Amino acid sequence: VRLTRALKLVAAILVTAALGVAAASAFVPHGVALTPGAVPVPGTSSLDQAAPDPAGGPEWNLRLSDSTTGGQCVEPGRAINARFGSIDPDGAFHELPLDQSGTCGDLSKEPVILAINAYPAGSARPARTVLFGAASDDVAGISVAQPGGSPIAHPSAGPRGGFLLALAGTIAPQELPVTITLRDGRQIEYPWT
Amino acid sequence: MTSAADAAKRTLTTPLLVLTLVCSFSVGAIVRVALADDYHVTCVGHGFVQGTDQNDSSFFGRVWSGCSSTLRTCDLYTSGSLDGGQAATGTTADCNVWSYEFGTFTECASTTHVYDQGVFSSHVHKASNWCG
Repeated sequence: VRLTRALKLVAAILVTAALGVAAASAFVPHGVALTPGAVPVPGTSSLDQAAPDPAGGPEWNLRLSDSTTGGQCVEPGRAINARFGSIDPDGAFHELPLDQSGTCGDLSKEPVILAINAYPAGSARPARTVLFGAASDDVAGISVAQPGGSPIAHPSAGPRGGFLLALAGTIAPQELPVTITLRDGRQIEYPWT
Repeated sequence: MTSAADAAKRTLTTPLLVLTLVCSFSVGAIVRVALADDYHVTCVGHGFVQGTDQNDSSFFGRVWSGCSSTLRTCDLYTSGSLDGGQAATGTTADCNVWSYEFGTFTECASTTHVYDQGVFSSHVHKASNWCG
């Protein structure tokens, strides 16, 4: 009798556990609600700083926006007749509306927002590496070391602090260490490691 | 005596089964979230984010900032080929790439490869309507 009761108890526990897991599968959404992060605020964007394409293609430009968390968002792209967009692998230009795009950060908490985009080669688009970001008023200068003995680049900042540097080919971030010089003379290294 | 013993067993059995139910639901929920294919949280949210809908070729690879200061990467792939990617550094810059910045790609065959140095290793998140 005791054995029967024990078996019944074990069976009840197993069935209950299975019900619990099944209920979790049924009622817990696949994935989680997206954590709120910074995205651009519509109506706050402007083109801020242009840079030449290394092979003479359409110029690169930077779209800056305020972010929903009080910071800034920066998004690199191509500009043709003041239209901001992208060039697809087949070489066609597509205008880009403002979306939940761009790299957002907060210049009140650190002196720069810094990122690198990699554009692989397509049938009619050469590969590009674009270093870009935005600098606060505390920044006096930006230096980017380049591989292969190329001279150090000093991208200048636009009216809203945006800067970008377009380079040919695909370059690993670690080959483009950045040094930020602040107005008080301090330097901050960004080695990407 | 027998009825008293039975009552005591019932008193113990019911809470045990309720505890089992709660625990198993919790474990199931944790496993389901942790193994989500498109997006999940390991200190920070990261993964594959669809745009307006699942079939408009507009999608994002994201790693929010907040848990590291050195390197976050988010690359987009479609059918195994690199569409484009990004590396972000510093303490506040999010890694955020939008498919439209690189071209037009089949959303359901796309993935994002994400990495946050010192937080999580490189791994892949698939589109929620994965068809690859």
